Amino acid sequence: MADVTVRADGNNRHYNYRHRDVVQLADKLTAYSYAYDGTSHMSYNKTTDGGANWGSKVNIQNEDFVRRFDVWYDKWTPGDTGNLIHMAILESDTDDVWYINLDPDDSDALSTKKQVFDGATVNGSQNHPADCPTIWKDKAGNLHIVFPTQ
Amino acid sequence: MSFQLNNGGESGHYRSTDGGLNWTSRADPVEASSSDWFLGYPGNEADDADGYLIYYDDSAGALSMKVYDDSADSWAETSIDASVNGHNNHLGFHGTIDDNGDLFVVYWNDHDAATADLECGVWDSGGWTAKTDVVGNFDDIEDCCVFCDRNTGDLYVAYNGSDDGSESAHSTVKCYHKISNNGGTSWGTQQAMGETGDDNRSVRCDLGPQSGEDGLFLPIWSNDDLNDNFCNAGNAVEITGSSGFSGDIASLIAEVKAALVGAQTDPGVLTSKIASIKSALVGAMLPKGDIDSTAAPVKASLVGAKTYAGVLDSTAAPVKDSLVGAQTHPGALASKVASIKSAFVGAQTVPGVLASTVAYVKTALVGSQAGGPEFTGVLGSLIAPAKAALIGAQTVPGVLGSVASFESDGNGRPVQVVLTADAAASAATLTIKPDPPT
Repeated sequence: MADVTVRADGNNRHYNYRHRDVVQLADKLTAYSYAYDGTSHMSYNKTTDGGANWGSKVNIQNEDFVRRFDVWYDKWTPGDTGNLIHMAILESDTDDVWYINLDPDDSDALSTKKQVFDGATVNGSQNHPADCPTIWKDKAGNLHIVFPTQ
Repeated sequence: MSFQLNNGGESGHYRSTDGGLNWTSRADPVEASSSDWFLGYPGNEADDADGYLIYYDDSAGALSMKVYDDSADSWAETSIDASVNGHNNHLGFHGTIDDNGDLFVVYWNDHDAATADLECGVWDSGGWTAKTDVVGNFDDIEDCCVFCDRNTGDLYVAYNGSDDGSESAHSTVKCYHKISNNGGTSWGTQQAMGETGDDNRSVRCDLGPQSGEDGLFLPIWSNDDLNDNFCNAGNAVEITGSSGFSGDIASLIAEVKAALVGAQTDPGVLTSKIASIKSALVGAMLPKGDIDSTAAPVKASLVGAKTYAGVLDSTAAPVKDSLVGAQTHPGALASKVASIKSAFVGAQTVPGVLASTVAYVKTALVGSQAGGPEFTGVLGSLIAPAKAALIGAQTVPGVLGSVASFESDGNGRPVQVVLTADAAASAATLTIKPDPPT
């Protein structure tokens, strides 16, 4: 079959960004594709039919200037039985690092955004992406975020 | 120090022990004055709180593994490749985790260069082991990602640009993938994932399903000038998992025993079949292919056990549950349970039916050993309690008394079983020795 457009709003590439952004659920049908949309929003598109069709983008945050992010899915951690998608977000307006999660089992509800780091000089440039944070969940259940800036 | 200045910026490592509500600073692995990039993963060390960081040092042109020791709050670094020419528009590497918790990494050691290789290796608690290149000496490439089917351990690697050199980077590349079913020792033939060649750039994918669960290998790539992301659902690879092992063996054995006792309505039948059932179990421990040779005694056992219509039907459910529970090699038995159940139910109709259903049982058993060595090890550890259950199932007095001794080799395979009969038996002891594995 022909290639399928996941998103076509003209500024949603993950080229230039060094993060993980595809999460596939265990039903084989539902997947999320996260992207920076070029208008300071982190957002995702979702498929529920194995990638044949994708829904419109859904913004994770409307009010903030997201420059970089990374995602971690609970089930990527060996032995973890959770089902949350964790996100580390680096903003350029506040120079802060934030944490938020999405719950696929609760209609994709978002958690309350939590500040991880109150920064002063986080200034991610769109064209030089070496400042992507990374997030993972260890086997003891702790979340970790490491972030660089330049 | 929880964070540091890098070219005027800040870096840091923060940890949350309460699900993201609160965060505290930890040792920072980011190097000073860096334009480095990295991806973090859970560690596979003795301490579950340890972590791994695949780290690209941009100034040094080197890829390394940084291991986080949570209890000491410190990082240790080991080189993976000291000569990597990364590109600041590409991630250039990616990692995934297998069912053992080991971290498989793929990375390009160069970009858009004739000698570029898409390399692979694995990091476990013992260090880094290089595997076979996914693609070698290939010029027109763009990015990569890796996915692991934890049910089987198969690795799937996606990248942009055909390995036959027929496409041009930044211009006409499509998305492709290769599969390794031996942990990166060798790779299968390149297969197309995308259909349209264009200036496709990065490619991303899920890390793969948990063992026992389904998944979908569905890479998504970016088109540069269109600024759009694409996938191809028609070329995606479905992963079929299973329910996996749940519950303890002891409770499962009790269910198996109950099922067998219910099935044994003609005294003496089950007893006479113990040897052939044992042989079948031993045969199942051998590498793939040996099940074929054990199909005949399994068939004979089932025929002998078919003595009363109506028994097997009532025991089909606990047998099914037990098989699912005992399914410790993910991805095998669950998908076979339906046919096994059908075989059992079919077995309790008329004699002629059983023969026709043996093929299903054989197919199911062969499928259950698809994992090869892993499954072999599992059965080895299970053989002793299974044997005990079978003996316990022998409800007719006077044949099998108790287990006098049971010897196994270092892999859990039975070497010799000596059974002591009671007064009604025809012999004082019965010694069972399986044929040695070949």
